[in-house]
Amino acid sequence: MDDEIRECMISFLPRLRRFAYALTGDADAGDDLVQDTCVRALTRLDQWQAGTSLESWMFRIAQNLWRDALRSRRATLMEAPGDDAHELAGADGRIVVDTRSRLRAVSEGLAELPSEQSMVVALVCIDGRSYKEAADILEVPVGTVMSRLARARRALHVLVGDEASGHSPKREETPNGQAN
Amino acid sequence: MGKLTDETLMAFVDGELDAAEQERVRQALAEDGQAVERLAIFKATGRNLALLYDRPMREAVPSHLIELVKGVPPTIEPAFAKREGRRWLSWKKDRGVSWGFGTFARGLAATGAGAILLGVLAYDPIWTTKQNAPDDQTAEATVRDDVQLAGDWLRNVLDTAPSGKAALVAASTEASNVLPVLTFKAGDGRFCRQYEFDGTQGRVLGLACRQTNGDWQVLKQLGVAAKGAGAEGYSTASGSNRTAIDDVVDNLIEGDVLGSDDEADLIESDWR
Repeated sequence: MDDEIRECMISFLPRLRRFAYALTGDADAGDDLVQDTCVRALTRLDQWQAGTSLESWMFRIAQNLWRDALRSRRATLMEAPGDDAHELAGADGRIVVDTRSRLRAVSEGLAELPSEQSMVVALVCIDGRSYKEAADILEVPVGTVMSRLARARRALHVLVGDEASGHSPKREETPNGQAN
Repeated sequence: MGKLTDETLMAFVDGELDAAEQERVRQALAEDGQAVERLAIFKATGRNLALLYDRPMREAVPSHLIELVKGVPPTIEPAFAKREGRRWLSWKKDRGVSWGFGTFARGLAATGAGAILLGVLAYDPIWTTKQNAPDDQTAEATVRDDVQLAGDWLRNVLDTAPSGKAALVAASTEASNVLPVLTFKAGDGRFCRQYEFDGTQGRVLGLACRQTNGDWQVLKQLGVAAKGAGAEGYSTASGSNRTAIDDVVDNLIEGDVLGSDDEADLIESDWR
C-alpha cells in the first residue's frame, strides 16, 4: 500500500514540477518546492483521506507551502525568474528569445498577483485543470475559481501585454518584487 | 442575449461551456464588438501559457526527487550485484537464506514498507511465464515468434546502468523501479543481464543477452502478482524462491557472476 502511494506520487512529479515552476517562476526554486511538498506529503500521509484524489491533495500542499513561503520571504524567491529560459527548445534563436522574454514577463506578472490568483492561473492555464478540479484543489466553490481567474487574467494581461504584441510587454513601472 | 460577463467569455475560451452555451456566446459575440475585445484578453492568457512552462514535462524528473519519494538512499548497495550474485549462486541449492532475509528486512526498513513484509512472505511465489504479465511483455520488448528484443528504454538501461542501483528511466516510460540485478558471461560468449522493474501489472523479472549487433535479446521475462514491494525488497525476496529465470541463468552461465568493476569496464567499453 505504502509503496503504491509512493509510485503514484512519483507519477505526479512531472505535473507537480510544472505547477511549481509556474508558481515560483524558476525551475530550481520550483524543484525545491516540489521537494518540500513530497516531504510534507510523506510525513503527513495519515492526513490524506483514502478515496480522495492523492494528486489534488499534493497540489494543495504545494500551494499552501508556496503561500506560506510568499508570506515569509517573498522578495528572495523572486529574484531572477526566467534565468533558465535559455534552455527552451527552439530551432532559430529568435523564437527562443521571444519565448524567453515572454516566460519572464509572465512569471513576473504572476509573481505580482495575489497568491490566490496566481495559483488559480497555474492550476487552470498551466496545469490544464478544469474549473471544477481547481475548485477541489483550492477547496473553494467553482464560482470563486471563475471570479478569481477572470480577475487574475485581466491583471496579467495588463502586466504582460497583449500576446499579439508578444515581446513588447506593456509593463507598469513596477520593476520587480513588491508591487502595490 | 446582451451581457456577456467576463466569466462567461473566459469559460468560453477555456472550453468550459456546454454546446448550447457555446452557441449562445458565439451568437452574442457576433453583435458585440466590445465583448470580442474582452475575449482577446482571455485568449492571450489561456491554456496556451502552459507552453511557456513545459520544460518539466519534457525532461526527466531529477533523481533526487524520485529517490526522496521512494524513501531509499540514492545508492542501494554499490556491491550489491556482485555480492548477491555469488551468494545467490550458492543459495540456489540450500534455501536457508539467512542472508536473504537480512537484506530483505533492511530493504523494508529503508523503504519504511514494513507492512509489506507479511504480505510478501504470505504470498505463494508462483511465477508464471505468460499468465501474469502478458501486457508487460509487449510493453518493453519487441515480440517476435522466436526472438524478443529489448525496447528502447530497456536497452538503454541494460547498456548503461550498473547492477544493484535503481536505474533512472524517463517519466513517460511505463516501467518504474527499474533495477539491473546482475551481469554474467554466457557459454556462447554473450554478456547477459538479469533485471527487474515494475510494469503495468506488477513486478517483472527478466533476463536478456547482448547480441553482437548491440540488441539485447530478452530470453525470459516473468510477471509476478505481488505488486508493492520495493525493488530491493522484492529482488531479495525472490532469491529465496527459485524462478524460471534462475534455471535459464544456470543453463547459460559460464564461470561466476561479474563483479561490479568488471561490469563497469564493460559498460564503459560499450560491451566489447
